[in-house]
Amino acid sequence: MHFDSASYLILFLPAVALVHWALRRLFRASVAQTWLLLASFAFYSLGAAPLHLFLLAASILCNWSIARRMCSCEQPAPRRAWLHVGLWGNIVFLGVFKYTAFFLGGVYPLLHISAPVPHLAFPLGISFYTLTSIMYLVDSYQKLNEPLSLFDYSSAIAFFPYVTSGPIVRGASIASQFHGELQANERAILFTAGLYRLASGLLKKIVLADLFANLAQAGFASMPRLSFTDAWIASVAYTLQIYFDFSGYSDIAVGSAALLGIRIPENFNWPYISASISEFWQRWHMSLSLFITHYLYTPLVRSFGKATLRTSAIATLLAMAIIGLWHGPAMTYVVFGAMHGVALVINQVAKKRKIKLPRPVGWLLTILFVNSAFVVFRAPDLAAAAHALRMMYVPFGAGGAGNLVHAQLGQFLTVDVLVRSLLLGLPLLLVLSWRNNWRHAAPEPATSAGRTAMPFVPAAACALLYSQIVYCVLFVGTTAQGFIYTQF
Amino acid sequence: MNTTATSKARRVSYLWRGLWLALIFALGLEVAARLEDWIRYGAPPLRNYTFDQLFRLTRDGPRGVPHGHYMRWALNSYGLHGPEISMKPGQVGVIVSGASEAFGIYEDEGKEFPRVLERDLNARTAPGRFVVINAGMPGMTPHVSLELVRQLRAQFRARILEILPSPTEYISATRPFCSKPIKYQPPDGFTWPQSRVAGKLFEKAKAVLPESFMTLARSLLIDWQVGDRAPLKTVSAQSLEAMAADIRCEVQTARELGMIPIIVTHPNRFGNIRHPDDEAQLVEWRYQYPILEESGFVDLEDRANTVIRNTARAEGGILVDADAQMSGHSELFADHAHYTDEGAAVMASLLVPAVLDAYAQTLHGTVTANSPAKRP
Repeated sequence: MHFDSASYLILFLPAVALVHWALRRLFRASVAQTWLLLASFAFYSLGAAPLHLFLLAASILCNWSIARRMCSCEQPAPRRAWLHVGLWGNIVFLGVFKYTAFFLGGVYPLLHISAPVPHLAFPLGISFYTLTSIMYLVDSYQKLNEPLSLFDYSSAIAFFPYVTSGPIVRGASIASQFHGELQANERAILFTAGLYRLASGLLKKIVLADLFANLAQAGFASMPRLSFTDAWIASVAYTLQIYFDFSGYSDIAVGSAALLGIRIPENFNWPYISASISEFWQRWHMSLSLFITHYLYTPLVRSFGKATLRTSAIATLLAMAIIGLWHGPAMTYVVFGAMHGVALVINQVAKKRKIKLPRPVGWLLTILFVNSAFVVFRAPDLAAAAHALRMMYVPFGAGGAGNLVHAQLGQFLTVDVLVRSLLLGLPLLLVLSWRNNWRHAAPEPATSAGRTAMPFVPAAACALLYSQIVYCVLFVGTTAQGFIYTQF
Repeated sequence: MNTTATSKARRVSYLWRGLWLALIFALGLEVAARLEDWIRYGAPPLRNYTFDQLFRLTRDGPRGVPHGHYMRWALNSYGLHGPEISMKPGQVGVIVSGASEAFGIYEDEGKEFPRVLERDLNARTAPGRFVVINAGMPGMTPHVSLELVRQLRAQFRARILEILPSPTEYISATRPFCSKPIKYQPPDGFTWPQSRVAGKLFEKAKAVLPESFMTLARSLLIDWQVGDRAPLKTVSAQSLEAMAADIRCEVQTARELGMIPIIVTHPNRFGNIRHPDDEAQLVEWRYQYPILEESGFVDLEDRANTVIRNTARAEGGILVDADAQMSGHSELFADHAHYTDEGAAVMASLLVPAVLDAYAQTLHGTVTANSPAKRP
């Protein structure tokens, strides 16, 4: 079930939210939490094979058991041993399902083995829930959180808004919200904000991402025939597509969770305005950046002993290459990660030497680099990536006729796109203007029953916004192009 | 007591708020539907927008609105479906009269059979030789159709008339339409605003809900519409005689106007081949004419096509037996009798030889006003 499908936005999410709030009102929070856990497993099973649901359940059970054993030990040695068991278990689990074919495909020819390479089906969301599990294990080892019950842990790991494509969360911070009480006005603001995020995410996905996807798809499909202009158009189109696609997804995830009264971390903060690559990673896929910093980079630097520029550079390069590989079993992803690693090292050196570029120059260099790295990320192989980069940066090299813009312009702005942008964009602008007023408004006074009334304007705006979402997905339709990050 | 009153007041307040939000939600949907229609089709945002607005009532019966358009359907300056008509000397005009089958309901724009027929004829002869005028209109009855044919003949000097009778028009007929005067009832000045999103929801439900559910819903509505009246098991012989009289009248009128008539049998999706969804299709057909039982439609088609064949032979007209060629091939029909693009192409291909035959007769001067045409 896609996040931009009618079945999710009109049936699944409203039904889950309505029943959840009804249960919270009528029964204890744990009853509502049970409902969310069931809904999460139902959501996962609708998009995954039954075996993959079993794998998710097994991962939850194993990680929870290991964390529990770890927490019950007071001695550092067994704690560390259990942490290693947990970490290696997760790495092997991820490796078996994600990298077996990649690894054996490289090893077999070297060993002259002619046996067929086994291709295991890729469990939905494995990359994301494995990282969430690793975060929980490390946090438990460092005693950053209290051990969770299996019920809380499974509710936090399998929570449907992020189980398939993130954001990558700290389980404990989510689990505490399942039974936390919300004030009525807090609930109302969260609900309103959730719908707003849902609509803006949908706008990003079905209008902007899918719009640029056509152009990027056409460009990367006809790579050998691209001209200098075409190569730039295709690369910029993909850079915009991946941002709107992934941040649209994240918005829908954040919005869906907010509708259920749960706050999950933000994933994007205008990454393309960054003036340096380190700033870019503070704004792009922020939950992954947090993971890289706290769970990869820092332990690596510590393992080298003394933190110097050199050890920091090595740790950065390693961490980014690992994150590149985390995206998928392909050399393009490894090179993408390594490129970012090198750029971050250069950034560290520049910072150390106090070289500061004017912000516009920094922005230009950053966006050019990010765009080029995404060419490698998107290209089918390294040779195609090299060709595309050559076309972009060697303007007088051999290139094609350059008719991509002309060929695709008709498909670029269709009536559907116009209808979707108006239907979702206009109410969003309206809500945005209202939101600015709410932000500064003092909380409403509590009523005699100790609850606050739902403010009129947000509720009306919610109804209007949701009507446009329903209309868009029901009648105008989405383009049925899946989200990019669900493949990771 | 006070607490109970407060609690009740709060409930009433919640109810009102819920209704208010539901109203905003519904209005939001309606505005979105109107905005989409405006962007996509140029539909007026503040007025009703229905298929019926392609047509208007005149003293000559229903007519297409000049330059009328609704969704993908666009009428020309004569209120006819298709491009602008321009007849130059030497061109041969062919008028296609009929109901919704000729007008084109399910075909893509430009793929309704009169348009395909024009392209096929010109491909077979010379570019621009034939001009096919689509005088079909949903629900068109022969007396109204003939009045339109007279006007078109006078204006464009068309030489060939294709007659495609619509048997369901005769389900309850007691006498020929040709003998009836055209009634004119001026439309009411006020029309209630109609919800556009409701129509879209209905269409969506039709597409999404299982066919069995839709069939059940239609059956219930049919029962409700029929009420205490006894449904017809079969159409009376008197009704089919009225149909035969109308075909004779149309043939006679065509000849009086100096045109060669081509009479076409009425193909349908049922024929002698049974399909799994026949029952659902028959219920859907009956939904438009609740008084006739489902089995009566297949019987009506069989008998009406026999009447068409016999009358054509008796009148010495050119007969195109589309029923024999097309009926039963469900892929040619989008519903019970309206064509798919493929069906329209087949219908056009069947008509081409007949039109060329008729054209040959006009060239050899074998047709004159008030004289029956001879088959070569």
